[in-house]
Amino acid sequence: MKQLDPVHSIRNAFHREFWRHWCVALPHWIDLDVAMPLPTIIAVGGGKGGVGKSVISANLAGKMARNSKVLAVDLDIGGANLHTYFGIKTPKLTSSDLLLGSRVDFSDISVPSGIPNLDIVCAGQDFGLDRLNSRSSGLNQIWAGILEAKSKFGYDYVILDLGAGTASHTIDFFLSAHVGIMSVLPEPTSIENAYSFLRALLWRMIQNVGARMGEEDLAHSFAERIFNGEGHGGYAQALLKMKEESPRLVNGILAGLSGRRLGFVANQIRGQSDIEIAQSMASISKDFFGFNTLSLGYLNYDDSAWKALRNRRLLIQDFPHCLFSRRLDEVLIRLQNAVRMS
Amino acid sequence: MKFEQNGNSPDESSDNFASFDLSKVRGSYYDMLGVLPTSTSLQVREAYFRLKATYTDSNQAIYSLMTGSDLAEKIKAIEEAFDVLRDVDSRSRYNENIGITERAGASRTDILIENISFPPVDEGMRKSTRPVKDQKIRLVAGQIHRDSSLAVRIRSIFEAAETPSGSTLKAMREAAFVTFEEIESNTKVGQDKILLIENDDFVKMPAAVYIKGFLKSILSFYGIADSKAFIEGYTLRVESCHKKTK
Repeated sequence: MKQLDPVHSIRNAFHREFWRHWCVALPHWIDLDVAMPLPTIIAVGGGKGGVGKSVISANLAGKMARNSKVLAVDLDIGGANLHTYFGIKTPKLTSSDLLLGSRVDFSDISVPSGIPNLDIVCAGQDFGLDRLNSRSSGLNQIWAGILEAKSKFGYDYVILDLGAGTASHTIDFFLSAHVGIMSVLPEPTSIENAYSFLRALLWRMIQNVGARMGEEDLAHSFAERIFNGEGHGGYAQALLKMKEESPRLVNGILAGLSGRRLGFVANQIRGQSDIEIAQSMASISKDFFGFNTLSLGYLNYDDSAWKALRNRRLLIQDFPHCLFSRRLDEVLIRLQNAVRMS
Repeated sequence: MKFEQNGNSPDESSDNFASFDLSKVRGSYYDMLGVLPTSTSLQVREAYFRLKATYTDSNQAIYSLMTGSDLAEKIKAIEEAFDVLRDVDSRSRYNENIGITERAGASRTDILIENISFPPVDEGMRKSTRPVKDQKIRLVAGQIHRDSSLAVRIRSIFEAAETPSGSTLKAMREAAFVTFEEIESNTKVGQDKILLIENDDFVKMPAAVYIKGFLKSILSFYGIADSKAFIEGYTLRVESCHKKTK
């Protein structure tokens, strides 16, 4: 059999170019083989609740499933509702069973969504929360399931629907994404929480890179200094100033920042002035935090969203020509350009 | 702050950034405006207006991240950077100071575009009330007239042609460093027609009488006035081909 160069056997160009940069900010206990084909991971987060994380995840997954095999994973543990968008009831086995240590495999808990090529993994309603913060074997299994989705189960895309808030496991899952989608509403509350989410993201990234490089203490002191005082004019600039102290660590953090993309989607847009919010936040976050950002566009406020939800059917199936659905098409195109997928 | 262009990133190898030392750009006015030393004045200007609109109190997207004094500081820095980079002279002086030797990578078309967006004062264009498109015509055509060595080179290519053919026009276009779009916008001759003429694709061409007009405006765009013999010779070839095919 013909031997392939391990790095080049990863088919997607985005993965190939950014593999090392992407890898460096993952939690340090994750050990990845360079030859393993990865799915393209897309996480949907945003800090605040009710900004449309699940509705974007569900409908984006539905649109992507037209061309490729997609797995949607509900990671809002304790507040799971992704399955409801597809009109299915909570299955018997959920990711809570993994966390509780039952003898189940990741393949056992994925269920067909009713849309061809799209499976979903549901989270339980209330169990397993207390186990998330410790490094339980269940959490490991969820990680393994996501990262091996391509090599073991053949999924091209994994879409992670995250919960609200800035819990450490939420941030870690967001860091695993090749493209992290930040869903924001044009409201001060949502914008405020989005920035606190980004702060938590940068903090966690510095910790993770430090742990991976064996410089936890230095990373911790850097993070302390950046977030308390030195970074008031921009965390990115403060970070660059520290380059003289430890070029290796700062280069690692910069690599982690450039190895994943952060896309902003403005949801529930009601007027012309709201449209620019995603663009504006993307450029501010690039400047202030140093993330590799892009604006993915906007989604209109649409009555069909709640109508479809009451019918317990997917919005893009129930109202395929509504404004929301058409805008989502544009978002999808930008998303695909961002990871240079075919 | 453009981290994807930092020393470790895969972008480093791309041609766009290879022509100057990135470490000199970091922390410079270019970095402040999020542009590159190769950016045109138009791009610098756009970046400035975008940043000004972004860092204002009325922008929702800034909420909770920056307060009044931080914003004022930021705007001040942006103004300072733009004040230097907006002017060609002060920009080149600044480049010398920070050690960027020349406008690396700026192609000839960039320079043309700059002249269009910011015509020099002595041209009297600032006062002009004509629409932008007209300015463009005069300026690009003027570029060839002003640059006497270029005009001579184009002239010599034209005179060297023994039989009137499209290859002469092609050679002139390449010598003048103009694109099809520029010729089209200046002469109102479609790009497809220019290509047909350059390739001597007589069969697909419209009637000779149209070609006459096209050639006249293309040649006058290159600054050649006595083009009668060339045009007549060329239209004769077109006509004879059309007769044969019919």
